[in-house]
Amino acid sequence: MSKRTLKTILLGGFIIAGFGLIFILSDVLEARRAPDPYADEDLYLSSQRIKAFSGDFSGLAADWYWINSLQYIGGKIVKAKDEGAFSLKDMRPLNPRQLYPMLDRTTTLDPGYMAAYTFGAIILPAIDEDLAIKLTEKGIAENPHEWVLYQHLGYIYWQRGDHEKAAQVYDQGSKIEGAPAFMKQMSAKVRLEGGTRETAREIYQHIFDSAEDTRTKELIAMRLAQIVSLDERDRIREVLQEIQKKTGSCPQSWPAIFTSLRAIKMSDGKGLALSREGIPLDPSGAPYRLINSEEKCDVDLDLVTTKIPPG
Amino acid sequence: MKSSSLKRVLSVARNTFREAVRDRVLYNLVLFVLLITAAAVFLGDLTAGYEARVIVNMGLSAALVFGAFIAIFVGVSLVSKEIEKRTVYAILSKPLGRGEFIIGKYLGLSLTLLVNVVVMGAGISLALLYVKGGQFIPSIWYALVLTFFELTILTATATLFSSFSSPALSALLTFFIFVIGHFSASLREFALALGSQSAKLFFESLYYVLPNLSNFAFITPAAHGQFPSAGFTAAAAGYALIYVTILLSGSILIFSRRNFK
Repeated sequence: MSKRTLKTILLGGFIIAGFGLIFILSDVLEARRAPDPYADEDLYLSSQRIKAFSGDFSGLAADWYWINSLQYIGGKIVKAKDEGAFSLKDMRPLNPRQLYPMLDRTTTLDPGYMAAYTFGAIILPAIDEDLAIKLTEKGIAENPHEWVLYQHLGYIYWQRGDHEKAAQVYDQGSKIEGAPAFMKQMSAKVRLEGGTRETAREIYQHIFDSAEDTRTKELIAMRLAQIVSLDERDRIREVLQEIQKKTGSCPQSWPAIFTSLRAIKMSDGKGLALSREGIPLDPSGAPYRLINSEEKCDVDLDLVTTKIPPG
Repeated sequence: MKSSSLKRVLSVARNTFREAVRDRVLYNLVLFVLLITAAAVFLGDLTAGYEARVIVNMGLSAALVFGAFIAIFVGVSLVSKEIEKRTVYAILSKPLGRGEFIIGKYLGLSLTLLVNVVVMGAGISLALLYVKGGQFIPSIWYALVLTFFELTILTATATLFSSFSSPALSALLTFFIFVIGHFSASLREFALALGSQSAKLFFESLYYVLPNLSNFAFITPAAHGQFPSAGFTAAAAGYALIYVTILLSGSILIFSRRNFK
């Protein structure tokens, strides 16, 4: 073996061995790293200053904050779901205090970032309604010709229970050029029917149809599934009460009332989804839970297996 | 310019372009393609369906940054390399004016940058066709045209500095101009906020003397599918042309007076 070949082998060996050691040491360092106490570290630069610094690259910086906000809240939701403590109605226990600043930065860096406004309008009401209104109003001020922002603002007020204000906002939005006819209809519906389940279904469906980002669609799809599940539980409850009236007792199992469950027809004409064993399934495909205690004969979500958040 | 003079300028430009290709300047395109491909494949989930927008922002920003680095680092060595290698003596001993030499060098590097920008634009378009399922976003090409205008100014700036300074210092100064050029609008705002009349005059003058590169910033609107108006594009082209003329005139003036003995 020539001296040169030996040198090549030796140096190649050093490189491979070096990378091997780096691989091991990386894991060792990772395992010994102190937990990050600043997972929710405050954003220390103001939005305007970041905009000034980013210059030509403000769009890219906006994308960076957008991705971060999705990761930030996504991580918290996944953790809460794993712990079984997730509610779409109230996300304050997750302490997502950095979400608004991140969305605010995204929309300051790129005031036309519609996905950020939409996402904020859907998720912020469960954290802080005033911040949700603030962000959406900022969007309207920056993009006065976007009817969809009025839809979001109307939704936030409706969520808050201020149906009159929501109707007003829907009405304002309906006057914008290019606004769909349903904005006017929603204004009347919200004013007349307020917080009914049917109104909720329509509101969510319209937001789902107009949303462009997949995260918002996922969240709204969850809301819609919740409403479908509430309808289904109402119908199952009616069947349970009927049987209880007839027999004087609550059914012992779902298969025992299989025929009655199969006869249920929902408002869209479809029947209940049933498993092979005759167990009714919620919209996420998880079985409903039958509560047949001495005091109660009822149906509920199986919180262990369902993907539909309670509430 | 006489036709024989034009021929000489084009000959220098052609050789500068060939030299840039030989020096593997266009290899940056490989890195760019990798970046865009990775973005197209992996961004879908991270951006919740907004990957097209991020690809436009990332692609156009990368085109500007890569282009700026080429303009700075290749631009500053355009003249100095010839002096260092003493090839400038052989070149200038031929019937070639110093002005023709500078303009030819400048045009050669501008052509390199044009090829770079066009290939990057094609890369972004292909990535967008992939993520948008065959949909073409034409606005990116308008942004790239403006980016190219900006790079021509930067190249001329690098040429000017390299005509009298060392490559390292020229690169540093050109980089400063690139950074300040993007914030020159702030200089004017700053001037307006000042109480002192002389300070106001100083910063106001600085605003007009330094190139305002934010005139060519169209990345974010392009991501929204917006187009610059024809008037704006024409004005931007005029601004770039005038600025390049000023800078090259300065370069020729300095280079013509340099003593190579």
